[in-house]
Formats: sequence, C-alpha cells, structure tokens
Amino acid sequence: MPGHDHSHDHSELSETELRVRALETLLTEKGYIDPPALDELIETYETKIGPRNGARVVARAWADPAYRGRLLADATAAIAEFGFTGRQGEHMVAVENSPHIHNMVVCTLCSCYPWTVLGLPPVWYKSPPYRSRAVRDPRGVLAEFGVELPKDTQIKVWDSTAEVRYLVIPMRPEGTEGWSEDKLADLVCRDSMIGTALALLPSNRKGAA
Amino acid sequence: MNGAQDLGGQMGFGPIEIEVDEPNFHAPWEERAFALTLAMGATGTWSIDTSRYMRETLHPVDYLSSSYYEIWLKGLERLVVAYGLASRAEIGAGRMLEPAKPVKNILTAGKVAATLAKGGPPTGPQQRLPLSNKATRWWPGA
Repeated sequence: MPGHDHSHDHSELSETELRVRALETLLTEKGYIDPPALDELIETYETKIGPRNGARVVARAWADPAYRGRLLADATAAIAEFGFTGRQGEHMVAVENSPHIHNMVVCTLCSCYPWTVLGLPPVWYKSPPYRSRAVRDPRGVLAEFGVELPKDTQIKVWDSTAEVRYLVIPMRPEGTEGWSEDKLADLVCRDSMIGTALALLPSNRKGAA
Repeated sequence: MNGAQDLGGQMGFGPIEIEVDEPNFHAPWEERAFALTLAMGATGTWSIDTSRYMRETLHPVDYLSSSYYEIWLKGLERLVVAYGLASRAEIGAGRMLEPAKPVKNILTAGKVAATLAKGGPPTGPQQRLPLSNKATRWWPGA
C-alpha cells in the first residue's frame, strides 16, 4: 500500500501532513468549515457508526423470520428500524448467503461501502489488489482471507455504486438455536458482512470457553 | 469514464494486505482529510458524483501511487479550486488571500448527527455544474 508504511514517531511533518494542515487552515479562514465539526465527524465514525450496527441487523434477520423478510424486500427500510440511516447507506440491498450461493461485495471503481451498517471501509477494501481481483478470481481472493467454500457453491460478486450499497447476510452457524440477538451478533464479524469471511463459530465467540 | 480507478479485472496488483484489528485511520492527517472532505461536501457546492470525478481524473500515475486519503486530499484541493471557493495560490500558501465565496451551508458540530442521518449531499441539477477541461486538468502537487 503506497504511503501506508509511515513511521509514526518522527517529528518532522510529511509533505502530505503539511498539505492537509494548509487546506484546513485555508478553509477555516474562509469560513467554509467549523473545526469542531471535523472533530465531531471523526468521533462519530470512531465510536458510533461501525460494524456492530450491521451485526445487530444480521442477528435480527437470523432470529426473526419476519424481519428477515423485510430486510430482503427493502433493506433500507428494515435497517432504518434500528435508526441506522443516512450517509453512504441511502439505498441498501441485503444479499443472503446459502449453501448454494455465497455473496461478496467490492467496489471496483473506488470504495463504495455501506457506512451506516459497517462504518468506514478497511484499507484492503479500498486498495487495488482487492478491487481488481475480486471480480476476476473471487475464489482466490477468498482463499487469501482463509475462506474455502465447497466447489459447488456459486460465488456472486456485487460491484457497489455511488448509490447502491450491499450488506451480506452470512449463514447462521449451527449450534446457535435459541440464542439471543445480542449473543448472535457477537458471531457476525465485519468481513462476514462483506463476504470475505464466514460468521464465527460458537466456539470462536468472544468470551466463549 | 475509464481510467486508473477502473480496476475491476486488472492484473498484477499483488496480494491483499489484510490488517488484523485495523484502525479507521492510520495517521492524524487521515482523520482531518476525511473530515474536511465530508464537511466541504456538506456545504452543498458539489454532488458526490463530482467529488468522485475529481478523484478519478487525477493523473493515473498520481492516482495509483497515492494512498486512499491522499487521493481524497488531492480531490478536495481540485474541487475547491474548480468551484472557485479558493485559488491555486491560496492552496499553495495555505492561507486566505482573497475574500470567501458564499456557500449554501456550513456544517457546525451540532448539525453533524442530523446531517449524517439525513444522507449524502443531494444531486440536484444546480450542482451538476459542467467542469471545464481547465479545472479537471489541474493536478496539484502531482
């Protein structure tokens, strides 16, 4: 990843750091931005909007067949039931995995990603290796993530757009009958909602013995 | 349009670099570049499509050798110049040299939650300003 291996302990500011500072100073002096709003934006995505949102959606779809039906019919509205609305999640589509079909999401052109349910995308999602190869060799990509699917499972790759964002509903792991939504949500890792992982097994749940 | 950003199916980019427990941001400047882009988007001056366009029309060499938030930074510099909110000289100087131009909205901290919940900037016709070739051919610091 170019520019991604900076050491964080040198005191000299890089050219990029200086450019960002210069731009923030300029736009503040012009009165176009309010610096406390920048802090609030950062804080929001650091603490309030992240993959835990999506995990709650998936857990409810697993636990409540009526909700699953609503989610598959109109994901934007079903996700809004949790209050997860807005920026980069205006038009959501939920795609459900089964033993026959595995769904995987990419944005080959940039980094379109369902912010309302997953937060900000990881660097690999935004980088050329994943974006280029997800559509040509999805099975090879999955192998790099340690996922091996049965040979007869079809892989569907969804290329996101500026408008439409996808949420993968991973398969519910066996041995979770009767679990609460909270407990189920612990199994729904971020990558399982992108389609580059499966949901965790009950034995891998955080805090599991 | 096609270009360096159109990566689907391209070969030769090597293995995927997976980072365990990856943070949202890898340096403080990335946080600022991210938030500046959102805050300037909230001024209602351009659409999300235009902001993408200005990233994707960076010179291909620059696009492919820049990190993600470097692309955002360069795209934002080009946007503010293309829409006359700041001049190239001001971008270079890092301070105001000319009076500001009025914008539709200024995002304050108190409006952040409601603005995000409402969704991205609308794509009204008034925002689909045709960008001149001159504007899109400026590649700051490329």
